[in-house]
Amino acid sequence: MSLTVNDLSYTYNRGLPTEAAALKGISFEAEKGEILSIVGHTGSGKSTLAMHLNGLIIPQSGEVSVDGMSIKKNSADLRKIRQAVGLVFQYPEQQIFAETVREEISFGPSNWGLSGDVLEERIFAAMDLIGLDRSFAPANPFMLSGGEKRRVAIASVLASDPDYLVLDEPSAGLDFNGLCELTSLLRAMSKNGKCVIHITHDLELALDISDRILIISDGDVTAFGSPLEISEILSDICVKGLILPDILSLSFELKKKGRINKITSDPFELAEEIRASGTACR
Amino acid sequence: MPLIRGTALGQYIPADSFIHRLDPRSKLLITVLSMILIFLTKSFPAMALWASLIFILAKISKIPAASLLRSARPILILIIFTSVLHIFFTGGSTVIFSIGPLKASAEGTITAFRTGLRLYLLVLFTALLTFTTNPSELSDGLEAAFGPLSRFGFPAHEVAMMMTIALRFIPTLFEETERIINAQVSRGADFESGGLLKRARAYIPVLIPLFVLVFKRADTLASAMEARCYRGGKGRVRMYPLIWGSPENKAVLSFAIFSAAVLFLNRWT
Repeated sequence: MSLTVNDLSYTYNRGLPTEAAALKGISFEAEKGEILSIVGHTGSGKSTLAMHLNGLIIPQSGEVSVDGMSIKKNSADLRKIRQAVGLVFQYPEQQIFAETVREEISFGPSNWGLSGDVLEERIFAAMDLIGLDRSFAPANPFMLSGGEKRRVAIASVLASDPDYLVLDEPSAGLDFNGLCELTSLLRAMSKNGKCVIHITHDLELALDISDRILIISDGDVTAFGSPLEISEILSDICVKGLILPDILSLSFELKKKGRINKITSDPFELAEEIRASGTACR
Repeated sequence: MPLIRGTALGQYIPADSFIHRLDPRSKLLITVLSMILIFLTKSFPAMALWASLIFILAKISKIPAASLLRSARPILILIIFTSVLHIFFTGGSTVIFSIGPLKASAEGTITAFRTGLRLYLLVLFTALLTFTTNPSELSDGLEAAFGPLSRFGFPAHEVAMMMTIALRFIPTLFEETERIINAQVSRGADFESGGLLKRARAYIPVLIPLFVLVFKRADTLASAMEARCYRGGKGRVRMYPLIWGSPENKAVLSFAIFSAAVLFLNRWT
């Protein structure tokens, strides 16, 4: 049971003078229980890819399948797929419409046919998961602060209890505390056996929280692997629009000068490497 | 999932042509005159002359005739509807056929054809204006046209500015609507099944966030304009001043000659 993307291509305005290829043959697989980060520059095709994962866009060529159900036009499975794959858009607080937080969060699960006690349970479980106090339930979501609004919006997706959670730039506009809360949420979700697909342009964040990283550039897969493998690949190639974390650049330089043996993006590990090689020299 | 495919009525198609380069005031003048003249046109040969003028202008503007016809398609339904009404309600002595109390007369049918064609020509001609004039030029032209009225307190500059802003934000609004629809569909919203009332209700979760965004956007835009010391039309200069030169004279003169031909044909046929 996994989410697989096989040789997926998509061209906007196909056949018109303004046509533009957004995805050019992307393949990868995301497993339950992992955090997979998709990293790419602005215009690399990240958001187009995200909309393919729950069937908002039907593949032009190639295949996207969720738990063995393939995404096809007019497929009866499309609603099942959307229920299994929760999609949190960039600035999700812009989707808020309801008069109370409770009603907003219940929108998803009640669309999927839940009601009564099960629905109540889902609403409160989602609020607990995102760290939203239950006393917020009767509040007007439009009166909340920006950070609280975003939590309500994410909770409204979590309440449908999707097995796959796709988040498009969830960290945009969050302060440090908000970021910490977000990363611990993503970790908790993957530990509970959910598959988290985290789309971002922030390589540092991706290296920090992911089990695997997919780097895309101009609609093509540039690299796919564990954070360590990605770090090693990035010491050889330069990817358009991708900013290397300072720690990673530092460790590339030290490796080149023969001061350390292993590349790492973790500051503590790097300090340990320097210390270990320093004693070896003397 | 674009909401609107292909060319829409009122869209601007950028190209480099004699018509595109004309001063917007001359194009507005010609369009307004043509509207009056098309309404005066009664004879079918004169209408054929109009049609040929429209296609020649489209050719000069480098606009495919197919795009022009496609853009007027939504209006065509309205035109056919009014024409059908004309067939039955004009009255006349020569009855061709009747459905119950409704009688279709020969006179009615001719009137229906005439009005329908007239409306269609009108739509096509005005479509040419928006196809060849970009929104900011169009509002500059309108401002100049309403200019004399500002002496009587008509806010010409403000009206033109409002039009520019409205036109500028149409594509942005479509983009935002699409994004919100996608977000709600991802949460299981269903816009396709159920009766009319249920489907209308399904759009509430789209309309409310959209209104919120529109008001926020207006607020931001107002602040941005104020930050740049926008104070309305008084003492304002243009980056691209409107220039009425010999191409404009030629265009207006040619149109005058054409109008004379149409009026002549209209009278003698």
